[in-house]
Amino acid sequence: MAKSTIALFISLFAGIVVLFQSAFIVDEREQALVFQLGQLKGVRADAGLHFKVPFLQQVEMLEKRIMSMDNPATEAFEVDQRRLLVDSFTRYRIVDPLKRYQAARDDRLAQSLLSQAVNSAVKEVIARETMQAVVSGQRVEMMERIRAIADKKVQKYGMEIVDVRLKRVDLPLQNSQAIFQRMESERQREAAEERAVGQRDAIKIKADADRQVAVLVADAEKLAQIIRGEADGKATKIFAEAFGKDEEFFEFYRTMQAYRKALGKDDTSLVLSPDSDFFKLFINSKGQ
Amino acid sequence: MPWQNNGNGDKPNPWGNGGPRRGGGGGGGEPPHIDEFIKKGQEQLKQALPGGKGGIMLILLAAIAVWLVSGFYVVATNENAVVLRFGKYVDTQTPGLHWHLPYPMETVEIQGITDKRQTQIGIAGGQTRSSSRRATNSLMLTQDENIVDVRFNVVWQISNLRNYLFNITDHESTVAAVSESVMRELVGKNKIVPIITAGRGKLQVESKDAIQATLDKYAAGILILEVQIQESDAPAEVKDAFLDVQRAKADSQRFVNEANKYRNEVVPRAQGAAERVTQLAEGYRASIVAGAEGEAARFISVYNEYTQAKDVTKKRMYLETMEQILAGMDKIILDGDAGSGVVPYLPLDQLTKKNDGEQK
Repeated sequence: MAKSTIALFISLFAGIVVLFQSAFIVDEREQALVFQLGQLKGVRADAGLHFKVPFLQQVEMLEKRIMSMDNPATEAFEVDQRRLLVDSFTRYRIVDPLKRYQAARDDRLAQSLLSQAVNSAVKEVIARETMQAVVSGQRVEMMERIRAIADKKVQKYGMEIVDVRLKRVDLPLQNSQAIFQRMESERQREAAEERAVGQRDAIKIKADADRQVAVLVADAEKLAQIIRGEADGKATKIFAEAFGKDEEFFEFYRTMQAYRKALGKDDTSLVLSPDSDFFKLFINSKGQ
Repeated sequence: MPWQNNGNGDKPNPWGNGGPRRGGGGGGGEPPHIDEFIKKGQEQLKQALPGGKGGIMLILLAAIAVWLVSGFYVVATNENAVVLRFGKYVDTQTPGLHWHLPYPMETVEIQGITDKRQTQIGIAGGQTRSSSRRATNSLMLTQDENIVDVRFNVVWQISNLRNYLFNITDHESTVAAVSESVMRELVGKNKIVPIITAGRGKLQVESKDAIQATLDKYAAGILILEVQIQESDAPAEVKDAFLDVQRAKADSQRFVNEANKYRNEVVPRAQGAAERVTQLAEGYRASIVAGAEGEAARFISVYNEYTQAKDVTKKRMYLETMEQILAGMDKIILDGDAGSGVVPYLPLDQLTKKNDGEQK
């Protein structure tokens, strides 16, 4: 009884070990390579439960998803031989695990193959473009060309480049300083212009105001002179009408008025002849 | 969220600690047949020998029960779950209580899919002015070959958990890299002034669409909710110059305002002065005309009387005038004959001097 129980347990345990050795799970994210004594025997790319020969065969997992890789600043020369620093990043996946495994055992090696391919593609494409085109031109189209060139190169490593994207495309630091200086001088020019325009407008407005003032004053003076002239004219007419009634009497009347105003003050000395009209009676009484 | 780490791209070891999440309530939701099964088992055990074998059976059955129960899992309202059978995708589960075939047959991965995630670009861990990081990340070249400092936030969530988990690795860094690339491309197509002023909104919308399009190309299962540009400014090196432009604009406006003020002061004042000049003239007219009319009226009155008695009036007026004039004067009366000899010797200057003396 006890012996058979122990035997049962042992066989059960052995069965479990064999099961674990012969079955393996391939996750959605993975693809499996099956080796037999170090020799590649097959690929299990689809997810699910798979079987192998226990103990004799080993399984190695590779990534199935799209992976990313940063390519730090690569130097590239554009068509006018200006040096550019180009940051890019690459998205890739393993399409042929077998080729990939033969070309590169681990990810690090695979990435160095990839970055070589991408960097040379970047250089190749940028060498045909101007700086302006690289910065603001058809980046999408350029990135697609880089991708196509790099993809062709890595096909033999069992990899596919899904996308290459340019991040930073920059001039080296010295050039950045030059750009900063240029930006600064441009802004200074703009500021100076802005102020000058303001001053110009201000002067215009002031001049216009001064003109308005001058016109207002002149118009007013003109109107005033017209009014005064009219007044003088009217007064003259009134006088003429009144005085015209008897010119002789007017002369007399007005002369009398003028005498009173012009003479008759203490500072006047008068030498008179007794023959004058005023003394007519004066002399007559004396002489006759 | 015990599953967050697994979901971020690490490969969970299917045989290792990647066991399914234990059902929250434990035995609360056990199907009844398990109870019966256990009961039966216990009865059988009791019938059997009370020795070692029965104990082992009991432990075994309890272990099986626990194993089955371990298949329960709860998906919270903000989450989705993918079910993998032997590593192969079978289903996506929505919120609620679910049961899966226990480990190792099926495993479940749960992720908060409505959780909003943020990826910051150009902002180095909250430090906005760490210049070394900034230099590599946030300075971008514009179309007119200026450099602009753009920092922004990308807010995103998972739109399709299956794609998110199984199509791409390094989600965060993918979003960051795509966003940076797109932003640099768009900045490169724009001039600096719109970027640092009114063009931000447009840039946000355009970059959002372009980032989404690129991620869709990867079938990344990511939905970009929003691109928030935190800062799009001239770089620190030239910021003063840009600020000076703003100041210059303000100055310019000030000049114009001052000029307007001058105009508004001077013109009404001149209008007033002009009005004064014309009013004075009007006054002159009134006074001159009135004066003339008065004088004329006076003359006419006198004249009317004069016509009544011409000689008398004339004489009277003459005499009155003479009287008045001569009353206040120094008078020297010389006879016509005598006068002719004397006049040349008359000391006229003394006469006037005498008058001066009297006045003084």
